[in-house]
Amino acid sequence: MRYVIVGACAAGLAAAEAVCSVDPSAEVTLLTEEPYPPYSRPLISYALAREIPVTLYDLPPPSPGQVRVRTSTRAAGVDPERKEVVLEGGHSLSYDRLLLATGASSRPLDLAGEGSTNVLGFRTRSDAEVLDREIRGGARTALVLGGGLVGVKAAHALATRGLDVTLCIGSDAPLSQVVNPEAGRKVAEALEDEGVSVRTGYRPSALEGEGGRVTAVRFDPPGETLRCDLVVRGKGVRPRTELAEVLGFGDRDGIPVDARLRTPAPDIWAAGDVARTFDVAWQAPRVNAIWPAAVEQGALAGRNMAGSHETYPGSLAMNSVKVGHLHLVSAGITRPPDGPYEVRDVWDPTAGYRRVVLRDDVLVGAVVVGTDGRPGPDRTGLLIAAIRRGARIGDLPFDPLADRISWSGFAFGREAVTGGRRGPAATLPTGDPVGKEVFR
Amino acid sequence: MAVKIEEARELSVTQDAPGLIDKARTDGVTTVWDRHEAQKPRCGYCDLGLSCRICAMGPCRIDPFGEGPQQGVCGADADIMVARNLGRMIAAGSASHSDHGRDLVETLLAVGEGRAPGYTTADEGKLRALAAEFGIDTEGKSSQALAGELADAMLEEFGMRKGRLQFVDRMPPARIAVWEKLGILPRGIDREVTEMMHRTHMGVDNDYVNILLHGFRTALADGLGGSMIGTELSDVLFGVPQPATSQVNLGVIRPDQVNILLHGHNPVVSEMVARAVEDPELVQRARDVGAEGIGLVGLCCTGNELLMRRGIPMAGNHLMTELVLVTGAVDMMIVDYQCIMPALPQIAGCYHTKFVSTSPKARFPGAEHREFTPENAEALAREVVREAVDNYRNRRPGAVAVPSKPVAQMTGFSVEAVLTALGGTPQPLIDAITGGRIRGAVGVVGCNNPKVKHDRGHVELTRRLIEHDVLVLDTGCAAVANAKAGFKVPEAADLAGPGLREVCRSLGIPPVLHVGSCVDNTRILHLAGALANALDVDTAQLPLAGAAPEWYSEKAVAIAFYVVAAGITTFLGVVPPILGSPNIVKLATQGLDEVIGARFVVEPDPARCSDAIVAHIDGKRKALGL
Amino acid sequence: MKTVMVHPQRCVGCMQCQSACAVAHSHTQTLYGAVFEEPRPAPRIHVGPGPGNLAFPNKCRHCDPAPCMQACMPAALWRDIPTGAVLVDPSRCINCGMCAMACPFGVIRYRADARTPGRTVAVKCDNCVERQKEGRVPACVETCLVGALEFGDPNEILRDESRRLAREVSLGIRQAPAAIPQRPEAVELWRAMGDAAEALGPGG
Ligand SMILES: Cc1cc2nc3c(=O)[nH]c(=O)nc-3n(C[C@H](O)[C@H](O)[C@H](O)COP(=O)(O)OP(=O)(O)OC[C@H]3O[C@@H](n4cnc5c(N)ncnc54)[C@H](O)[C@@H]3O)c2cc1C
Ligand code: SF4
Ligand code: SF4
Repeated sequence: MRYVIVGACAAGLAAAEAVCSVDPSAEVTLLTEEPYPPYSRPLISYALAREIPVTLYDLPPPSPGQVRVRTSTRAAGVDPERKEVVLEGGHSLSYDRLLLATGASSRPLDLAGEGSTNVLGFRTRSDAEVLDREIRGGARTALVLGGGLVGVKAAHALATRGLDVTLCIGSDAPLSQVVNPEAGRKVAEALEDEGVSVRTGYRPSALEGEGGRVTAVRFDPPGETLRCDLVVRGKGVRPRTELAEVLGFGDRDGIPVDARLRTPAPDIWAAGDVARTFDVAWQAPRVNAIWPAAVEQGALAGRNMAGSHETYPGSLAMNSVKVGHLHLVSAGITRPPDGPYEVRDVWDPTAGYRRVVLRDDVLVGAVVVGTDGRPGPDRTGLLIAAIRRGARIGDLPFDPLADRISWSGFAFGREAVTGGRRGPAATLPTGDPVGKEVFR
Repeated sequence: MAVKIEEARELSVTQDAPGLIDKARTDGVTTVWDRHEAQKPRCGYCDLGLSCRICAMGPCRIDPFGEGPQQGVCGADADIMVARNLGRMIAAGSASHSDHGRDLVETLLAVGEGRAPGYTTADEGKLRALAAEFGIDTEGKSSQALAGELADAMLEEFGMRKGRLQFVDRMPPARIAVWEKLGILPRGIDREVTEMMHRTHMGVDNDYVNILLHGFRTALADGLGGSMIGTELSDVLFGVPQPATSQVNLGVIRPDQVNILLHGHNPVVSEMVARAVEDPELVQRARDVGAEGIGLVGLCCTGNELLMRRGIPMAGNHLMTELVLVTGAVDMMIVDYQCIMPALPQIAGCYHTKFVSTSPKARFPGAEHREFTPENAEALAREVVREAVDNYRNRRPGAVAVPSKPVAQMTGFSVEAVLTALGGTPQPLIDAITGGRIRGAVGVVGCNNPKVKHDRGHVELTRRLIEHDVLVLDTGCAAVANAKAGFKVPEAADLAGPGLREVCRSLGIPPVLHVGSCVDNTRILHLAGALANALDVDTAQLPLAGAAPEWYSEKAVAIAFYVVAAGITTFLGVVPPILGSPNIVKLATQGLDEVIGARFVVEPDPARCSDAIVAHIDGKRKALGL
Repeated sequence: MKTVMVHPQRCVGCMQCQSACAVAHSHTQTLYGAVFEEPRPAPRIHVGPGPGNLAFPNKCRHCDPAPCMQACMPAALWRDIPTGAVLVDPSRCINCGMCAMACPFGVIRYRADARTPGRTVAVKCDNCVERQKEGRVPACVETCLVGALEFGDPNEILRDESRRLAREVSLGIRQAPAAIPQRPEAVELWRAMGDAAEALGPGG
């Protein structure tokens, strides 16, 4: 069977591996428009900050016998009738099964001058390399527009390189899409400590410059112009649905998929940052553009493409951000809309800042902010697993607002001892409840 | 389930132990080594001193790897926890020696009051000298009257009236000045122990330095209090030891005689038993049951007391106490207190051995309890010896095996005896030291511990020290080990370095001098004080060291602390439970030197330990310009 | 694959496994040496209060698929195929915190690691793969005196337990067969007191 996977990052690679694990005769072609062999996208901020060697970028290649990776190869369209992917330049590739793992791209500013050479997104290895070249070429001041996760990471990395960085945010705190403003303000403080100047209520209205380079950005509000050598877009991402849109589905909220991760078109699946899957916290379809979800979905889609019939239990947003001494973990719904939600917050010097969000007493979200590693991200997995399970707060064997989460909170049931490994059927003879759904 | 003899040889360096370890296993008897093995792995928290059971908010532990709790429920951190535990070890050790000392004072009192038939003041001269030391007017007083007065004066040492213990004055002024400056002059024996228990109650003393300083004071209340009184009064009541020859190891048990073993610490009971076995009527009774006679042998410190004063042969040290019973040739084991493993009556039960406990303070399941008092001791001793003789018939012939031949040894080197041997003054010793023939002197003391290959620490260290011309004084279990190794005969001078060899040959003494039991470590302290006074220096300046290569007991901790308090650096072969507090480790192994002029060194390897001791002694010699 | 199974009913909370683990992951391999090492070796197993007021030694289950591996962006977490153990390559770990969020058992910690001087990295149970190569069982199992930790194939251990149970039931040997040897009365009492105290309020 011939499998074509468009996209060779988290979702695409996991899918290729999964396909091969189920179908030993699979022939897999992985396409990426980027010129690099598969690399780890989130490392670009670490590489730009020179915190890691470039060799760390590389991801282990999928099994070479069965999988072919084609770099610098862009898919321009899909012909579902002929079961062909049309490549840029005219060639085409036939498939029996197709996976769209095209990910996402930095959201544009929608301003004139956006194409200037010193206005960059922060999504690809080449973005990081261009920024690095600019810094080595003498760039001293940078404006990061937008306080999304990527904006925060870019600003922090640029400040680490010694640039004069201003993070300009339209809303009143960074990470407004990810966490509540209280937690966001802790991030702003940490960024200031790391040498990033953070301006809230700054909306870019025009890019000023000449000769294909932007030299200043006009902000309205507050009605101020800031000079710059570099501009980085940090307003979050947009799913890359171009190929799907041609097929008649997919929009700015991603490609819709069913529980098996199939798109509406036959023999076409979607996974990763581009796919709108079921969100266990919101209990509604939603794109969760994070690495673990992309890997999970890619692997599941891959197995299903190769003949399995697995259902995806749903994704859950979660993020881990470190800025200087601050560490922030968030999961699920952190800024609940109006409705049957309850928010519990605590702030204490040892437990740090914590928030849990409940919907009808069911845990649906959490935020943990610590400094100096206390509380660290260490045991947040227990909390997040509880959100995934849809646990009621009263049933939790620990207080989710306390630092001292019981280490073994979810340690019952068969999965607890076998780690989810599927083996011959066996029950625990102790009379303990056999928790079938400890995880996934 | 007999183990191979080679395996048993891994457990002990002695000639006599392996065969019996093997026999114990064949006989199905569990020994200390089996139990030690069964306890593995030991609790890391306790091993590091990081567990606390002082109060019922706990028990608490501190995670040495910094992950778990770093404080007990009360808030005690690693320093406080380790210091409190250590403080209580010192208190327990001091209490043990001192309570032993008090029993001797009470016996002396009973003698004074004329209600202790069989007991006398065997050394009149020492009685008078001590009385004078305690400021008692001795003119024209009978020894019985003096015994009463001295006992009263010494009882006062336990409570507190005078402000400081009498024997402090035996130490050089420079040393006393150090103690005064640190505020650790011992005030009263019971007081310091009580105060340590108080300070280490939750919520009292929470400064580890302060606790440890009081630890030194508590230990000094032992060294210059309870222990020293124990030694001095034992001499008064039973005689000052004089050099004599005797024998050692399991071979001293003769299968063809009635064998009575004395185990424990206090000579009060054992001296009476020693007299009873000489009773012709009982000896005849032994012949009547078919034995050649009555053999009395000692174990541990009671054994040392009997050996020092009466030349009674020594069967073995702490780790031998079980194996002695395994010979199947012991008709009775009589014990008082301290270091008597509760396993012993059980092992006695596996053979025909009668196990008799004698002290109201120390009872043992499986033992026959016969309470000894100064009043009844003489008569009761005869009674139990008679029972031992009668028990000879119950021997199971197949179960008897004594696998070795005894080794000769010299004993009895009390301070008085040493001075006599030197011609009445310490000058010849001082000359030998200043002249370099003797490099220095080391007290090799302390127990056995199954963590260390039995007797290896003592024997290897001692052998290396004498090779380096270091005179060794030994007590307790160490003394037994060295005697068994053959270091305690004048011919052992051949094993010594050239200088020490020459001195030993000219005086006809061995290079390793037996000075007694564990309380007799105070004899070493006394001698050190006398040397320092003669040279008009501080004890801390002398080329001396202490070593406890195989220590196990709380008493050993108290001894180590008073020896260090006396300015004598002490080398430990077993790691004390303090490593959980890096601050205390640093203080004990480095910081103390500046404060008190001595420190602790932990070195389990006897070879390296010997090198370190020699280097330490050379350093002291250099500082003295020798 | 073989891994460490926990029988919490037998655990007495002595935390011996914790220090044995830290020592097994130290340079000196001795307790006395390990506590003086810089950085101090970290335990990979942690004893904490678990369900039913039982002490619970919590450690990596070496899941398959492993959520932590799926979350690890630089592929620092990998599976050792012969033993099935999920391992951390400290030289690739960027200390991002993703794996701890993903682990449903909360067993990954971030610690300074002697193998990567000056850097904090993810630290977790490695099933003592090095000891296994020498034919030894994991250090925590070796150290546990009460049999609360068992090394074996979890499926086999569970299957054996249920077979034994089935046999005992069908033979009617015992009325209420216990899968795990009965705890001594003193331990039962201790547990019961703990439960009672727990019911009264905080602490226990
Ligand atoms: C700076 C940064 C930091 C991040 N940090 C974190 C983090 O800490 N935690 C976390 O969970 N997530 C993080 N993320 C998000 C994470 O990188 C993504 O969720 C993940 O990469 C999604 O993987 P994917 O395979 O779905 O898509 P992508 O990684 O976006 O890969 C899409 C692939 O498709 C290719 N492609 C797209 N269209 C075409 C086409 N038409 N033809 C050919 N090839 C095409 C692209 O070249 C690319 O290779 C971070 C992202 C960035 C940029
Ligand atoms: S660290 Fe957690 S998620 Fe990873 S294998 Fe171990 S138990 Fe599973
Ligand atoms: S912390 Fe290290 S091991 Fe964990 S996900 Fe990040 S890089 Fe991987």
